[in-house]
Parts: sequence; structure tokens; C-alpha cells
Amino acid sequence: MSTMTVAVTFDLLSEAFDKVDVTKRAAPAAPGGAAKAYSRAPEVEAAVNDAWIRIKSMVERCVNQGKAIIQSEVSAFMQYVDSTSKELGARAKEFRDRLLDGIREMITKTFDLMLKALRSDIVVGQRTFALKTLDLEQKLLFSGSLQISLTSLCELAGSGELTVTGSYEVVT
Amino acid sequence: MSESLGLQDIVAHATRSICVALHRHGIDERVCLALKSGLQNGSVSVVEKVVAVVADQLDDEPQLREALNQSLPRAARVFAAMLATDSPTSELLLEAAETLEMLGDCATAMDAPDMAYNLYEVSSGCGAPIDRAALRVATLLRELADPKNVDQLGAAAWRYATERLRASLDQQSDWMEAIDAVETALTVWVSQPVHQAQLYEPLERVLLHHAENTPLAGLTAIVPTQAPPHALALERRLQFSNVVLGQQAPTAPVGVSRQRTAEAVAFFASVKAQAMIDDLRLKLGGGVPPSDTSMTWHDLSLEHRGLISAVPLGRALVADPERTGELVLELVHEITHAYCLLGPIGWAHRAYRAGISYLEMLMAHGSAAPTWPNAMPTLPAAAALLAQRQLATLLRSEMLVAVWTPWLEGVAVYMELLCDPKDDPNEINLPFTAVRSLIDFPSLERRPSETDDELHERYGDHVAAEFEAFYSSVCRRKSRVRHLAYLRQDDEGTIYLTGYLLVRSIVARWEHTLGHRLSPVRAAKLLLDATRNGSMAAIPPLDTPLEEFIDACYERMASWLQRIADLDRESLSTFLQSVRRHEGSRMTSWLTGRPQTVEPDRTVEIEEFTRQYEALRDGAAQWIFGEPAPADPEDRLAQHYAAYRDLCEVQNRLAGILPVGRDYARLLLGADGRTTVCPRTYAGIIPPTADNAGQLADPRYSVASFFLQDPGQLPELRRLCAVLETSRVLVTRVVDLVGNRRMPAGSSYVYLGLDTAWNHIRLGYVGQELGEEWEDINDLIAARVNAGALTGDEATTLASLQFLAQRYEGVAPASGLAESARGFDRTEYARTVGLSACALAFSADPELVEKCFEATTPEQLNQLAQYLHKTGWGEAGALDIGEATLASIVASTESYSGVIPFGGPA
Repeated sequence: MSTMTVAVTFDLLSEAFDKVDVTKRAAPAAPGGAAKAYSRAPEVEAAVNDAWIRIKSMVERCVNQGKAIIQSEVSAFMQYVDSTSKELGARAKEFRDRLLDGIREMITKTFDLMLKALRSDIVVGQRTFALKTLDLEQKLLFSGSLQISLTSLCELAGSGELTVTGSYEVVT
Repeated sequence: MSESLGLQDIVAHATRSICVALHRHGIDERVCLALKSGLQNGSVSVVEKVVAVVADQLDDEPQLREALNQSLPRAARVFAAMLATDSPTSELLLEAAETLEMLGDCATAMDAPDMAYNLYEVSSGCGAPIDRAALRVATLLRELADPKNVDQLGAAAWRYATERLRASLDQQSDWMEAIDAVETALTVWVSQPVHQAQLYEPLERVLLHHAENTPLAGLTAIVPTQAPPHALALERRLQFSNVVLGQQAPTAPVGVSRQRTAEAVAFFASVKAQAMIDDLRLKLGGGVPPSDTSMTWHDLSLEHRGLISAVPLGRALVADPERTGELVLELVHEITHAYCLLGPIGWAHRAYRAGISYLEMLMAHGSAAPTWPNAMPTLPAAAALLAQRQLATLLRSEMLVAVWTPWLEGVAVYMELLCDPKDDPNEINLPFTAVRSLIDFPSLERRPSETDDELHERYGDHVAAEFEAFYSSVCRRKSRVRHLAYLRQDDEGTIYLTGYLLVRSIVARWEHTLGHRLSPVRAAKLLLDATRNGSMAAIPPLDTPLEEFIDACYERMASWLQRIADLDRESLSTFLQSVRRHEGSRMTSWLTGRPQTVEPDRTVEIEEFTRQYEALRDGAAQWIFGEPAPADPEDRLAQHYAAYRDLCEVQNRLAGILPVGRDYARLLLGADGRTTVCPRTYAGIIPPTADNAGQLADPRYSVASFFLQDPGQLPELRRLCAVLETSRVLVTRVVDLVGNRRMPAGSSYVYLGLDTAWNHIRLGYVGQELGEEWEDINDLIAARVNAGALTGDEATTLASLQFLAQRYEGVAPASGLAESARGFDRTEYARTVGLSACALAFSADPELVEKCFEATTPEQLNQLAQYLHKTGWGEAGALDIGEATLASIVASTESYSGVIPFGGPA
């Protein structure tokens, strides 16, 4: 077993942010499909955009300043989410759902990008070893709670690195 | 009819009908009598001989001859069997139904629709007991029924509904058609109870036997609740009513008879059932399509997702700020547009629109072209000229729209985002009045010794307070997030933002001149008045050469903006002075370029304003006709001028009436003469739950049923529904933005119409119906609501540059004009105008302004949105201004409302 680490930089997170488009308007769900047919309500669009910009800044601060600020950052952001939810009235759930979807997708994309950085095989002398097992040290939390999901994302950003334990075996 | 006939009667009835048809078709009377005898006696040999004779007389109609050859001998055989039994087998009934249908076809071929109707009816009667699928027969019966005979129409509607339903359930398709047919039948019941029960029973049987596990399963419980009187026993109806009402079913109150309670429950259930049918239709129709809120320039149509198949009625708009607040704000925005376009800007646009319509009429009547104008070339050169002028007129119109769009959007956004009517205790701006009129506040109970005037005044205060409390809470709560929504980077967002900044800079200049902050709702009063009434000088002559027109429009608008920004302190103070309670409305004249209060009967100002309007309109006419109006009224061109002016007047009058929402609402016609209309009203969005993720934010509706007062209308309504094959009336709510001799501006009416054959207009939802003395107002509203029927889909034809360009190219290939028209992008030009106007407003280099708009990041835009929100409400706003940024161009912490005053820093 070998332990490998991948540095969590804001460049990497920024790349993940670029891959997540919370502003997209989902196509109408196909019959029987599970896609969410979000409305085209301009208020929700605007609120999600603004919140996403804030999340991006918050994640950047977590990368730079570490885990110590996560609690206060998340707490301040959740206050913002609550006040915006009041502004949106009946559309608040849609706003929160879209944020939650965005954060989950962001976590997934971030891990994808980090794991891509790992080599799937290594050559030692004349022999090639292929990656056989992979364990993540970090705890992945895909919660239905916006606050927990956001904290998870910030912890990933604030940890500074992703620790992965893997084992290689000889390719026969 | 046939349901009550015995087999012998059917044979006699059918025989008579086919013989009459043959005789009318020219077959000898003796031959017909022989046929009658053969058929009535069931004598195949006699009938075969007669058929041979008849065939000889139909040499030139081989198809009919063949049809008679096949059907008449078969009829003789079937009739013989029918006459020989009292209890026919299913096979015999089926054969009888088929044969009678064939005879009906023969009668149709002989052009005897009344006889065909008889034969199809008895065919239907024979097929009913064995549940024969007979959609074709039912469809023919519906087509052939006498349009004046309500019972015949009703019977045909019921048969069609039964068969349409059977076919849809059998083929698992055409669900909407089946619902339409059932609804129509439920509306146009027949008057004879026994006959109605006989028509009802097969329909209910089809539902009970075939509807389970289909999308129409719900109709099984719904239909009995709306069934015609006497179609089923009250006890049975109540069973279904309780199913529909669930736990809502009321119990009999003390002192009310069981019968009365049962009737009330049945009525309540029928209305609830209607909501269920409407929901089913919505679901089967794929839900409400996504659509943006908009107001069209060409015909001032208001579009909103919450107003598709829904009408504001009752207190629905203010029932819950969480759910309907967004719609109310958007209504204020769109109605502000409609209001602003009632003055010179709208007049100019409509002068061109009337010209386009007039040219269309001339093209449609090609003969008119050579006589107009006096120097008109002959056809086909005339056709090319008319098409060219029509296209060029629309291009001008689009240029006018492009130039004015940023300003008009700016005013509407300002109204929507910052204007709280509560901030002005004495006055209310018309867009608020108009939206308020869409809400039906319940009347107040009169206090002891209270006079009518006192009660009206108290009611007015109550309504104003309730509306303002609602609106204020919505407006203030949503202002920030809606600022965020409007400040976007796309072209449309730039138009909104430039327009909004322009308006804010004008207001900032007024504040600077006055030396204090202006509450936005007071500033809006002046913005609205200046735009609607003070913009005559802002429009260039409408016959300005095309190549100069767009620049002339911009120059005039820019000068006008400068003039209103430069209003002196006295003019501002005087205009903004509050109207005192009980003081009549003031009249403001803008003839001098600034607002001046004048006496309402000052004819000098009115005459001069009228003269200016006529000059504006005739400028368009001069461009369209190519020559000034001749002095001689008998001159041919003078007559064209007169007709064109009339068209302009009509369009201007119609523009003052704004329909808000429309729904084809169900009519429930009761035996007691009560006519209930069940329009839907928007009630916000469906509250999200864990189970409806796929339906998030779908509109939610409630049914707002109300009675029509006049029971005498019932038979005619039933007849019209049957003839038009519908049970739905168009319901819309119209706001009169101008006012009339009876009601002030901002009053609303509820319009109901069955095609153009019947209409009914009332003041508000529960208000009085308009009597004869309202005829002119009634006609105006009806004309406005039905205007679309005349103009068709104008947006894709006469209001489309692409359409007119293509048509012009058909008569003048390789035209430079068509190319220019195709290449004109209204949105792009409006964006350019917005940016130029902002450069003017903030005394900034136009290139720098454009660069800053393009370089602004979403984060900076959001910051600016929050800054404009805070400062708009009179609070201090924080903004990272930076250098050579949008913020550095527009923001000023020195200014009363955070924005640099028009013309640059003070």
C-alpha cells in the first residue's frame, strides 16, 4: 500500500468550478425521466448566480486560509441563503435545490480532477505496476443538507491536499 | 328520438326518410311508393325490382347507384327480420345499425341532409343497446343537426361525446378531444328528461367499463357531478359528489332542508369537478409552456406564464405575497410600458402600424392601387411600390422601437424595483391603480348613519391601504434579488441596465436641482408623465427620409432627455407638489417643454396638442401615400387620408384597453337558469414537495366560479355552445388605461365571450353587468379583445421584417431595402442606443462606456446591483469603484441616490 497526496490548489478548484454550470436551464424532462425541470424564473437564476459567485470566493478563502475559517464562512453564507430565501418566497426551495445540486457536482468534479492527477500505472525497472485499489482518506459527504455539503466542499478546499491510499500490482 | 321508438317505428321512419330523399332527387313518385311498400313489408324481391328501376334513372351517378344497389335490398332483409321480432338479437341490431348508416350515406349523396340525419339517428339508436362503436355516425349527426334546434343539437352532442370517448379509450389516444366532447355534451343537455337520461346512460357506461387505468379515469366520478338535471337520481349524484369533494362535503345546516343541502353539495361538487378537469387538461396538454414576461409593441399584448389560461379574479393576486408577489411586480412593469405608449411614442408607432395595415388592405384590393395616389403607377409596378412602402414603414417603426426601448425599459424597471406606493400617501401612479383594479376587494358593511359618499370614501381608503400594504412588502422584499436579475451581461441585460442607469441619472439630476432626495414613487410620477405626455418633441417628423430616420430618432430623444434633466427647480417643485385630498386631478401641459399646470378646460393647450398630434400622424400618412393631403375632400387621395386617419383613431382607442390574462373557462348551465362560469385564476406556483421535483414552479390555479345574472340567456347559450362545439367561453380581464365618461382611468372589467356571437361584460369580478347605456364601452372592449381575429398572427406577418422583406423580394428581387430590413437587429441597436445614452448621461467617452460594460465581471455586476438597490432606497451603498470601471462611470457617493446626475458630476 502506498500513500499518495494531491495538492488542492485554487487553480484545480477553479477548473472544477468552470465545469459546473449552475446557471444552466435544464431541458424539459423527457417522459419518465428524472431531470428536474427548473423554471426560468429570473429571480431564482439571479439568486443562484450571486450565491455561486459567493461560494467561489469562499472556497478561495478556504484554500488560502485553511480550515480555521470554515465554520464562520459557512455560517455567514447560510445566513445569506436564509435571507435570500425570504426574498424568493415560494421559489426558495428551487434556489436551495439548485445550490445543493451545484455543490454536489462541484465536489464530484473536484475529486475527478484530483484523481486524474494520479498515475494509473508506474514502471519500476522493467516492470509495470497497475493501480489496483484506491482509498480516499478524506470523508466524502453527500448530504441533503446545504450546510453540510457546503462544509464538505470547504473542508476539501481547506485541507490543502487530498490523501489517497493505493496499492499497485504487477501487470502480468 | 330513436331511443323511444319500437322496431316497427324505426322501419317506418327509415323507409319514409330514404323514400323522401329519392323522390327529392328526381325518382318517380310511383317508384318511391313501390319502394316504400317493399321496405315496410320487408319484401326483398319487390325492393330488388324497384332498385333496378331506380338504377336506370341514375345513369350518370354510378356511385350512388352502386350504394343503393347494396343498401336497399339489405335494408329489406333487415327490416323483415326486425318486423318479425319483439326482442332483436345483438346480431340483428348490429346489422340494422350498419344498414341504416349505409342508407344515411345514400341520403347524403342525394343532398338530403335532413333525411340523412333521420337515418343516422335511427342507426345510432339501434347500435346504442349493443355498444356499437359509431364515431363516424355520431360525427355526421353532429354536423347535420339543425343549428336552430337546441334539442337536436344537444342529442347530437351527447352521441358524439359517447362515441368520441369510446374511440379514445379504445385507441388510447385523442384524450383532449374526448374531454372537449364530454364537456360540450354536459353543457348542451336536452330538455326532455327521459330522452336526456337515455343519452346519459351510454356515456356513463362507457366510462365505467373502459376508463379504468386510463388518463380519463377521473371522469368516471367527475361526469356524474356535472350531469344534466334528471340524467341521474339525486342520491346517485350525491354519491359521486362526495367522492369529488372528499372531506369538503358539507353537511346540512340546521334549518335547511335536505333537498336544498343536496343541491348545494351537487353544485359545489360540479365546480370542484371543473378544477379537476382543468388540471387533467393541463397535464395532458404537457403543462404550461415556459415563457418570458413581455409586452408586444405592435398590439400591446401582455404575456406572462401566470396568465396563460388564467385570469386575475377575486383576491387571488394578493392572497399570498410569497406566491403571487412576483406576478404583481411584473404586471406593474408591463402595465408601465402600456401606459407610456399611450402618448406620442405609441402614437408614432401606431401611425406606422396603421399605415402598414392600410397598405395591406390596398394590396388585398389590387383594383384600388391604380387610383391611388394620383401619381400611382399601374400594376404590377403599383404592387411593388406598395410592398416597398410597407416594408420601409415597418423598418422605420422598428427603428423607433430600438431607440426608445432602453428608456422605456428603464422607466418600467425603476417603477418595479424602487417604487413603493406607500411612500406617497396622497397620490397613486396609474400602473398601480391598474394592477389594483385587477383585485376584487370585498365590499364593506355600511356603518349606522353612514352616507353613500362616506362609505365609498372609506372603501377607497380600505382598498388602497390593503393593496399598498401588500405591494409594499413584496416590492421591498424582492427589490434586491430583482436588481440582481435585471443586471445581466447579455444584450437584453445591457438594455435594461443602460435604461435603468439613464433613469437613475435623470432622477439624480432632479434631486440635485431640488436639493433633496426624491422618493422614487414621486420621481416616477414625473417620469411617467414626461414619457407619456411630454414626449411630442422627442419624435422626429415621421416622413423624415429613411436613411436619416434612425439618427433623427436618437437625436430627438437625446435632446429630450437633456431637456427633462434640465427642468428647473420651480417646475419640478410645482409638478411634484402633492394633490390634496378631495382636490380634483390636475392637468399638466408640456407644450413649453416643461410641465405646467393648466386649468382642465384650457382649450388653447388642448387644441395645440391636438394639432401637434395630427401633424405627427399626417407625417406618417405623407410618407405612406407619398403626397400631402389634398385640400379637396372629394379628391381620391383625400378619402384615403380620411380612412387612414380613422384607422389610427381606432388603434389609439384600442391601445387604451389592456387585456390581462385569458382563459377558455367552462360554462356550467343549470336547469334552474343559473349559468356558472368557472375561469381559472393564478394562485402562485405549486409548493415544492419531495414528490414533485419534476413539476417545480408549475403554476397553480384556483377556480373562481361566478354566476351570470340573466337566466333568459340560457337556451341561447346552450344553442351557441352546441353550434360552436364548445362549452367554454373566453374570459379575460381588461384594464381601461384611459378611462371613459363613466369610469376613471385604471378601472377594470371582466369580459366573457363565446366567439363573437355572444359576450357579457361586467365591472370587476362580482360587479354589475354593463347595461345598454354602456354600449359604446362594451363595443370598445369587445373590439379590443377580439382584435386578434382580424389581424391574425401579426407578429409573424405584418410586424415581421423578415416576412415583409421576403414578400417584397417576390416583386422586386435583389432589393437593397429588403437586405437592410433583414439585417436590422433591433436588440443590437437598442443596446447601442443604451450605451450611447449612458455616455451622454454620465458625460463619459462612449468607447470607454462600451468597454466598461463589456469588461464588467458577473461579480462586479452583482455588486453594482446591490449598490443600486441600497442607494435606490436611500441607504448608503458600498461599492468597489476602481478605475475605468462601470462603477467609476456611474456611481457617486456625493449624489442623493448614489448615481451621478445626468450630464456628469454636479
